[in-house]
Amino acid sequence: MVAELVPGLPIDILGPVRAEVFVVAHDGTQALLTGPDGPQPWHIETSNDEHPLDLVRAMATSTMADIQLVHSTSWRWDRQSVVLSFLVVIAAEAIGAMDRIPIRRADLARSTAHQAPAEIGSNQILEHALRHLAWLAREDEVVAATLSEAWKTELMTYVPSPFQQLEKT
Amino acid sequence: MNYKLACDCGWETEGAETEIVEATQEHGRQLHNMELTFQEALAMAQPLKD
Repeated sequence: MVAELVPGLPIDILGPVRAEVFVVAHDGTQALLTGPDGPQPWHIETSNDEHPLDLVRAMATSTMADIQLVHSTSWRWDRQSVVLSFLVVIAAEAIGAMDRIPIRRADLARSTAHQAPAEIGSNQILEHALRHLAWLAREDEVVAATLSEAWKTELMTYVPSPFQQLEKT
Repeated sequence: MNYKLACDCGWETEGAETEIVEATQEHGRQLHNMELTFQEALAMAQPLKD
């Protein structure tokens, strides 16, 4: 017997997604974390009618000057939301009156082959983002042409990490 | 009565009801892409003791 297909309503798959933005700049001496919210992850609510990347770019452009690069770097599950992490590179001159702190190195939060890390700190997310940027600076012509020499020199100290999510258990 | 309202991001505002609600709605819209109603914003506020 062949079951008859009954046309039904499309499954409405929607869920909470947040964007978390790290705004960074390089003043020629050091890499800095800044942002309109201060030197911390900047949280933005996403909407169903706009691509998260377009939304982050639009929000960044409306609140800061001289946006040089917007790139999605990772995602995770946090507080019942999918959190998309973005790196926004601005020119040092665009920091203006925004608070800033030097970026410090951190160990990555490592997952196992089948499980996400139990806890991830924002400095670890930023570390991962900058390692991703280090890889892009080497592999992506647009990114390489966009970043300043100071950035490229800084990123030489970061291990490019496009695919270092897994570690042996 | 005056109120104090703090966002998760660290931003804070103090003032009369209408002032803090309007400031919070503007902050939410500009920095977090959030549209808050008057009541939603007010619900996050704490009354200040005179």
